[in-house]
Amino acid sequence: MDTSLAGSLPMTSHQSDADAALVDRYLSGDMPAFDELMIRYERQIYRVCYRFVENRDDAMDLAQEVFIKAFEHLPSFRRESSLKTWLYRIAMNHCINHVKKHSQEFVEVSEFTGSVNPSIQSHLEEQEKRDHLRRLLKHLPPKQKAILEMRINEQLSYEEIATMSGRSISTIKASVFFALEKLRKLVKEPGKQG
Amino acid sequence: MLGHLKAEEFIDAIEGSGLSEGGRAHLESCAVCAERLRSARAMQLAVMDDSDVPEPDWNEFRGSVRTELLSRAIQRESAVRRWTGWPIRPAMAWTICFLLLVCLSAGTWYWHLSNEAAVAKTVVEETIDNSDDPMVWATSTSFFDELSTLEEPQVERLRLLLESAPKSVLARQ
Repeated sequence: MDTSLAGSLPMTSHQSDADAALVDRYLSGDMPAFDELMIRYERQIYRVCYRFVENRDDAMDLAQEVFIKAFEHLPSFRRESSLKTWLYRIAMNHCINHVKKHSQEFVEVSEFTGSVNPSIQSHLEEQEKRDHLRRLLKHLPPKQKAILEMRINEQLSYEEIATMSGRSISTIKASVFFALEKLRKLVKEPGKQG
Repeated sequence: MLGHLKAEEFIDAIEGSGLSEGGRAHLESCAVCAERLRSARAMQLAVMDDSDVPEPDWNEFRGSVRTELLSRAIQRESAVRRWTGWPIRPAMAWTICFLLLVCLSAGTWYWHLSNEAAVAKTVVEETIDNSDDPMVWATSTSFFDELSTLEEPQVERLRLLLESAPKSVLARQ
C-alpha cells in the first residue's frame, strides 16, 4: 500500500456525472442501474463497515443496512455533495450509531485484551501488534475513529471527510492528529485504556 | 518554547502537503514539536491497515439488499393501504347506515300511506253498501249526479220516501 496520503484526490466530475445519471435511471425504475450503483460502491462501503466491527458477517449486515437506507432515501438526495460522499456519510453515521449502541460489547472485549502483559508487546509478531493497535482504536471516540479510518485506510480527502461530517478541513486535520496522539499514549500506557 | 505547531500543521507536515516557512523553521528548532511529529508519523504508519479485508460473495450481497428493499417496499405499501383504509371504513359504515335509515323511513311511510288509503276505501265502501240513509249518499257522492243516474224503480222509491217523511224533518233539512 502506498503510505503517502497526499495523492488521494476528491471525486472527479466525470464520476460524479456518471453517478447522477445512474441515480436518475434508478429513480425512473431502471433496475440494472441498481446493480451498477451497487457494484460501484459496495466494496468501499463494506470496507468502512468492516473497519468498525472487524467481522465479516457484522460488516455485511451493516453494509446492507447502509445501502437499504441509502436507496430508500435516494429520492431525497439533494446532490449538494457527490453520491460517494453521501453514501460514506450514511455509512459513517450508521457505523458510529452501531458502535455506540454496542459499546458495552466492545468494552468487554477490550477489557479482556487489556489484560495482556505490556512487557511482552515487543515480542509479539507483526500481526499481533497490528491486532493490538486495532483493538486500541476502539478506545477512540467513535467519530474520531471514523475520521481516522476514512483518512488513513479509506484514503478519502480531507475535503470529502469535511463535507460528509459537516466540519471544517482544519477541524478534520486536528481530529486526525489528536487521534494519532491519543493512540500513541494508549500504546505507551495501556493501563489508561477506556 | 512558545509558538508550537498547531494540530493541522502537524498533519500538513506528516502528509507533505506544505508546511509554512515559519513552521519548518520552528520544527528545526523545537525538539518537542519534532518529537510529536515523529511519533505521530510513526503512529500513522502503524494504523495503516494493509491486511486483506475478507470479502463476502458480492452477488449474494446484492441479492440480499435487493430482496430487503423489495420486501420493505411491499410492507410500506400495505401499511399505506391499511392507513388509507381506516378513514374510509367509518365513512362507508355511516353511509350504509344512512341509506338503510332512509330506505326504512321511506318504506314505513309508504306502507303507512297505502294502509291508510286502503282503510279509508274499505270504510267508505262499507258505509255506502250498508247504509239506507239518503244523507249518506249525499255526503259521500254528489247528490245531483246520483239523482241523474237513478233508474225508474229507485226514483219511485225515493219519491215515496220523501212523501212519507214528516214535514218538520224536511223543513229542518
